[in-house]
Amino acid sequence: MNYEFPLVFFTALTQAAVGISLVAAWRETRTECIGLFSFRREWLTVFVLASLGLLASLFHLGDPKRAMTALVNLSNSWLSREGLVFGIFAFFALINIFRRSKLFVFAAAVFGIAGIVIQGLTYAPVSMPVISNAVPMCIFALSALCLGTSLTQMAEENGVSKMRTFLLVILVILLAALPFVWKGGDVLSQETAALWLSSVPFWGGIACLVLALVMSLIGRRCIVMGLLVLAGVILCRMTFFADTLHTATRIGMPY
Amino acid sequence: MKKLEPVSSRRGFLKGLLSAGVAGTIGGLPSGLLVPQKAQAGTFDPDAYQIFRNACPRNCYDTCSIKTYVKDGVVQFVEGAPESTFTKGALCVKGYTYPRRLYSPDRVKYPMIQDKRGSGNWRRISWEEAMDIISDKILDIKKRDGSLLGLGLTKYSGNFGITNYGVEGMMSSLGYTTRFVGTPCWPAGIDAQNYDLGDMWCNDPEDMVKAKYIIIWGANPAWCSMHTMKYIYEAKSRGAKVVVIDPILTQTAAKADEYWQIKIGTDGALALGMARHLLDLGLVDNDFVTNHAVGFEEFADYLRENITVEWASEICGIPAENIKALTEEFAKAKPAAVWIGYGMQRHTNGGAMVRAIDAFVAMSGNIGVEGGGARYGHLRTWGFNYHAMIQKQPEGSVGFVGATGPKGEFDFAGESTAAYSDRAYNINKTAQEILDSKDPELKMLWISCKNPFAQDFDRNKLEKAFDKLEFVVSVEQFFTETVRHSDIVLPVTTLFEEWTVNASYWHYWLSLNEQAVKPMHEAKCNIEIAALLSKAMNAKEPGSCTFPQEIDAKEWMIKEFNQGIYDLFGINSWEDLRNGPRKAKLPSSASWNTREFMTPSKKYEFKSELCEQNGFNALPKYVEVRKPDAPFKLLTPHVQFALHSQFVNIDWMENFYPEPFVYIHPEAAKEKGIKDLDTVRVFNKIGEVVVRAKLTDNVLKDCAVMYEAWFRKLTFNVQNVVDDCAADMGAMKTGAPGVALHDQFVDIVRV
Amino acid sequence: MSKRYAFLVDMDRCIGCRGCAMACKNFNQLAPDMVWRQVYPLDEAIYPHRERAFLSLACNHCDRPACLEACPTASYEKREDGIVVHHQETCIGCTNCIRSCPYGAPRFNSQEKHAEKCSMCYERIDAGLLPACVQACPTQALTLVDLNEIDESKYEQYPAGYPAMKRLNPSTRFILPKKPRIVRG
Repeated sequence: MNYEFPLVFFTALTQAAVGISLVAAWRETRTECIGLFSFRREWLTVFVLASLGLLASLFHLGDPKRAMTALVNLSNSWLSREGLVFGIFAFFALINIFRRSKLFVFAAAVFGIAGIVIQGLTYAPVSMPVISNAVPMCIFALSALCLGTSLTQMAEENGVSKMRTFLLVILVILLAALPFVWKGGDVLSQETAALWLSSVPFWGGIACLVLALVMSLIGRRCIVMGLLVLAGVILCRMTFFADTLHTATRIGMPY
Repeated sequence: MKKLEPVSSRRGFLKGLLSAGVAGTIGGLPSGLLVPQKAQAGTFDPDAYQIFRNACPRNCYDTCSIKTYVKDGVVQFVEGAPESTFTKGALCVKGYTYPRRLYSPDRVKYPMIQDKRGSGNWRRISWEEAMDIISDKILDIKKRDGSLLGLGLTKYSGNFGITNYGVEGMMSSLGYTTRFVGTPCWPAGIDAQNYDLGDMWCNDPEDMVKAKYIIIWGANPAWCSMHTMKYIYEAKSRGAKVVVIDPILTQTAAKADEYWQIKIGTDGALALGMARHLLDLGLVDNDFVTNHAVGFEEFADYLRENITVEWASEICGIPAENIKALTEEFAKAKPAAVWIGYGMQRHTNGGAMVRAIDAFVAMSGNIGVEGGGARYGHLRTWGFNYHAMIQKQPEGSVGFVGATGPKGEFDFAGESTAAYSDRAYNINKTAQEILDSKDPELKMLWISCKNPFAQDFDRNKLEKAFDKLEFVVSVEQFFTETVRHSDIVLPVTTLFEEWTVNASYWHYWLSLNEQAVKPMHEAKCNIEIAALLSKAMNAKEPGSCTFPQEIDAKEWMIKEFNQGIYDLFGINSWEDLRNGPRKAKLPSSASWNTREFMTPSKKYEFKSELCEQNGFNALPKYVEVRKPDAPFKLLTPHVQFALHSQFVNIDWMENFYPEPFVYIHPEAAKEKGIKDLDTVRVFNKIGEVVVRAKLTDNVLKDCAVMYEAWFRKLTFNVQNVVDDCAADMGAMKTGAPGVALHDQFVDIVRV
Repeated sequence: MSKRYAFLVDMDRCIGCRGCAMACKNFNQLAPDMVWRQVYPLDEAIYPHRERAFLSLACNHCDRPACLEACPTASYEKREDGIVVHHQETCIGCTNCIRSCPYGAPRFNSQEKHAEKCSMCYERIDAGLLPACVQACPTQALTLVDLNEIDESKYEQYPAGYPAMKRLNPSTRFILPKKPRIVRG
């Protein structure tokens, strides 16, 4: 089974980084919070997660030494754009560690959002009809927000906590509903549904997310919950990459 | 067409982007890193290669003419010779693997000795050491027995290049030896056609385009003679009807207008039923049966008294109305052809079935007709000198005192008047012959152009037989199961590394096989090996081997040509073949076009006294097939990826044919509780095969099909469950009867 | 008007011999485990006789190639004559084209660590020769056509068992296989 771990970690970690940066940007709009938190540590987390994600992506390449040439095809390739945008995102995160300013914080957030959108387009190939749509973008955006709201120091803050609970509910429903929706589709969709439903990482991931949701509801300490969300996202992402059927696997057979 | 933005402008965009410094995180890197190099698309230049002529030497109808492209002393790729209208620029899936065979890491690279047979403890030795050991053994046998009959040769169709008959020559040059003779392939049909027509001689397959009706009976050209398919398609497009009669819904059947799934071994009954209907309708070609044939009235009486269409239908499983309709269509379409496949005669009644079909075609007036014919095969283009084969025994050699020496369908040496002869053993009973061998016992076996452990019948018995042998030498390219059962293996050249010449038993083209590259590793061709052995023998005992000790393989190839060959192919010298293969100049594309037959009566013999003398019916009467002793009838025919045991071991082929299967009917499988792709045990009283099953109604309910092949990584071997039961005919022309390898029975259980 | 080269697969003539696929390996000197052209048997739900009708497919040289849009290093080029060429030397092996092509045309060379695919033997076409696979077909089931020259209404673009990707507009055209009349006891 090829779980595409470089892509799993690349997407999950960059999404965590974007999520945290969005919460941080939201906080910038609320002056009462200033001074309560260690912004430097938070932006350091964002930078480290984004960098680890980008590093992980290198393991996906046959020739990582020439990784920079992946930025060549900006005019055609969402993958090129994805690399560039996350590079810029990481760059602003780095600046925010040392010289945080509203401009740089919002710049990071904007590139982060762009990154998620582009990622949603990159991993929605025409060859995988069940996810050749807005599904990846929705999963990625929800994952980013769930990760962001559960991994920040502000996770215990009331507004964030409510938001997180709500987002987790949506993410779990979306992920769990997908295979059941596909069951009503064509052969390729049905077979993908069967693969997802029989995938151990998938159900493991859902379990992690549900557990995190329960903790969020009863207001438990956040670090375990944050890690649970991360684990849930990573496990479900493994299924996303490994068990979503490609049209080429059924050539000669009915679709 | 919607034009896409050219690549260069996209690159321009990126360069601009970079120079503007927008790409923040990647700033500071040399921009050259980011710009892909323009791929220089070189145009293919055929003139940049040295071209060599090769020929596929396998046991195949198509015997392709190959054009080999060499650069820097390395074979770069091969293609079909465009000069041959038969090969027409295309090889087959097997032929295209040849460059990989040449450069395969799996090849036997140098002579090796195995410390104990089957142990796998191979040690590299020099050619001199190998020949020293072998010659010692041969001299030892001669000393012990007073003759060399304890030395045996088994060789068949692994390489049909004419100079490879030098292996037989090598044996003769040592003295009188034991030879495994006959052929597992096609002997019953050969004898059948000899009884009927006086020879096996088919029309030019390229004239099939003229046929208005084609019955492909027990042949599967889509897999076994792909190049003939284009003529069948052309005939179809000109309005011919194509009918396939076969127990398996083959690939050829899928391309026919009509497919008849006949019960196994009942083709003779069907042919006789058709003959009877022809008679009833008065559609017999009276000119042919009265002026060009003998015994027709007696045959007609036999038909009237013993055969009805309904009876035939009962036996073969084809509805009577279909039999009648086809007979009428066939008789009214002129010319109409029947292609008699080799599979159909691999039965205990195989020869009788071929004779019945011949008779039907003859009655319909399609013998000696362009676009017609009862097509089986021919050897009309094989009139070489057999210089390598014909070697004299050493002075004073003692041999087998018997009526006749060994024969083979490719044995063109003619009759010998010597006092002694070689001892002939039946190639189709290799195991039994070795076990029964005495006075003197067979002690040493030389194996070349053959893989007995993949191809000889009753594999388990063969294991026992080989245990009895003192010494086994294999001449091979790969570490086959036979090599595993050998003491010494000698590396032999591939087609690219040797000189020879090849003809086909189906089409009428002649191909040169040039040495395109120097032999890899320490490989040598068969006649060079013979010369080396001769050197070792004569050094120890001068005069003990008459084979020349120094040979030039190219010169020996030239020595195979004669004026007859030059005249037949309209060439002045063998060198003309360097410009491409040549086709025989035929007065007519039809065999027997003069209707002068080669039978004793010089006519077509519906009634053959010769046949009767040899212990069979004079008339092509119905003969029942072997009775089953297990629930499934087993067929083990060819697959397109293999030629017998060759090709499937090549890693390139594993891309397309990684695993064998047993094919069984869904209903039979259901009764046995077998689901698709389940692993099953196919077994009978002599052995078993464990393999995955595929369910398909391409096969009959009482039939199981496994395609023969040798996989380098699997133990799969159909010969585990194929016994050595003889076919009816074959002994007359090939020295031994054929083998009923399609009259086999197995049971199947889920593992 | 420029050419629009395309493969025409006559499934009615195709005997599933795999000669095309092996000829490709032979001419293009592919790595032992690499195939650029594959012959896919049709499922019995599509053709009733098992393993008796086939789709011989390599790259479909699409009008709007998914590979070209997926490749971050611009290693794909769509030529004027329609041929989609992959430049191995600039490929960094990200496999995004492999994920993206619905037809499985690009494949990963695990030794060289880059993607590669059928180039329609453009080096041969430029020299006035046929692609190796086309030359190798013993039944002329696989031919090279110019879509600007043929009457497209005679051919199928999306036979059963072949992903229908209208946005990509793959260039390969097909003739469907016929079935023999079957007589059984």
